[in-house]
Amino acid sequence: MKVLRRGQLSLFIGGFIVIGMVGIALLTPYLPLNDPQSQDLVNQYSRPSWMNWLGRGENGVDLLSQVFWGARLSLGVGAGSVVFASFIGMFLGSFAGYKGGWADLILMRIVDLLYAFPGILLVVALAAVLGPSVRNMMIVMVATSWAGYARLVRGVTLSLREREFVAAAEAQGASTFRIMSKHLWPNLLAPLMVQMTFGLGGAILVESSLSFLGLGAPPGTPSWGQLLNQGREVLTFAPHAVIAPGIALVLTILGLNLMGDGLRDRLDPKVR
Amino acid sequence: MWSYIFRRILSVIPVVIGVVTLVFLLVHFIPGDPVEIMLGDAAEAADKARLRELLGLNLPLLKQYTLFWKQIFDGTWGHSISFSRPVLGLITERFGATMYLSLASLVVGVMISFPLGVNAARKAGTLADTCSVGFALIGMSIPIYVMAPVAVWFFSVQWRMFPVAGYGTLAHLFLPMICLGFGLSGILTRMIRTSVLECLGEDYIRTARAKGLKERNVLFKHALRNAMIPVITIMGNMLGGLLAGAVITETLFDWPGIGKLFFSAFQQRDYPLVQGVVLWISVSYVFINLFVDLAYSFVDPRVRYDS
Repeated sequence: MKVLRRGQLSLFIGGFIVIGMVGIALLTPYLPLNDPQSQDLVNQYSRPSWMNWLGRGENGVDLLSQVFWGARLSLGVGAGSVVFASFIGMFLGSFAGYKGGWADLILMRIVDLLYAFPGILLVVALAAVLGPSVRNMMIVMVATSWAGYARLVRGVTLSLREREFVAAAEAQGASTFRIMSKHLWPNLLAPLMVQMTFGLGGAILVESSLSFLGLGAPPGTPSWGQLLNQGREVLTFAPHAVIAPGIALVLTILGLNLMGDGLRDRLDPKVR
Repeated sequence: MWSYIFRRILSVIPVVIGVVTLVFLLVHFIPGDPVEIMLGDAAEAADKARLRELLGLNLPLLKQYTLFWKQIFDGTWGHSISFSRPVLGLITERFGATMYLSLASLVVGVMISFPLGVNAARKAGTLADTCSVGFALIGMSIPIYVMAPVAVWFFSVQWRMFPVAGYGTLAHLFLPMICLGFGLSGILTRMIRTSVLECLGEDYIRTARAKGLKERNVLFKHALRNAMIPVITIMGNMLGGLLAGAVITETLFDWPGIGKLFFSAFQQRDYPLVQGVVLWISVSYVFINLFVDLAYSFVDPRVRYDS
């Protein structure tokens, strides 16, 4: 009972933070913010003030609007790549798990190969050869993260396909696609949603890591990773340049982790 | 037992072949002409032709692929353009520094998370547990490039206790080690808590308690030994993650390891070097996992039968 309450609490707090961030990301173009690109070289790295609530960054850009536009980029790229990757993972994973045989063997070898590269190694390598752009970043993130969803979906499908309702559908002569879309996918949604929530946190971290390394958003695009990279160079006299994007990033990841935990408590009966 | 070990060692071969193939193809994912991108538009045609020949890019794809394998076996791993030297030498010179930092942070991570995780599991549901879980969540949510500037601000800028960056003395090791170790301790605390909690619910723990063992013995002799098995697997993964993440850590702290080498490689578009570093880290990771699995089969006989 106590654990359940903790789960609900983390879902509530996490959801609150995430909704706030999504709200910022969606509303940013309509808010009365300064132009994120407009420069003011004289006031470069000036402290927070009434004109610039979070202070100014490199070339005197307004940090508040940079951080808000950065939320749009992070959440946009993150959500886009997670949706694409989970869609591919769901389709391939359920097909391989349901059909078995060669399809399964080939898919799992590809998944194993992608898992042979630790952490962000493959992401960084691919981003480095493709060159920095938002589109390339999405391609790289989808190409390296679909395997996680495919593996999860395949695992769940393997147990689902033994269930009576699948046997019943087969007995009625339902096609493979019909069984997948009508009988497997609805049952995959719960575990997939938990994984997507954590995946979104991971994707946002990947986005900011790439931007931090100069492999993500092209220079000038407001992005948390880039702000953090610029800010650490001027840490001694302008710590506010790191604090603003740092808090935004950590808060978003924290919110998604809390929400993921809460969702898992709620949707996965295996967790106490 | 030996047949398991033999099979497990053999299973590495196809993975390594796959990794080498994918790393080979990396250069062919470059949009446009790799030579033009490496040298820039202004390069002389003769230079381009020479580089194309040096990299073997004028050969048919299959020839290039066999050449790639040949370079792996002759110990050069290709030729770095920015350093004008064989790639493998550049990597091995720097790998020690990377391993040094990675292992030190892993130790710090374990030292923080072990007491926290075990204590949280023992007192599950209490305030101590909630605090540990909260700490773990925060540790997991702070990436190194946020953690590092904060730590540098306090320890180097304000208190002047440790150098901002660099390599050489133990003082240089402190900040990167603590920052990385803190990040790892989040996931580790959580893993250890879950694992110990699971073990404490097992029948053999009840038996141990029923026969009157001291709680300390129940915990350390019976619960922890079993609880550590999944935790060690995660540590193998973490070491791999540290090697891959070195590209960020070493850039932050100016640490002269393969991560910094990797960073300079892709900044200078030195693709043979990029390939070399990626190959080295992923093959190391394959072998770390192999080692962890083999170590298991000695410690835990059940592993041999499962697979």
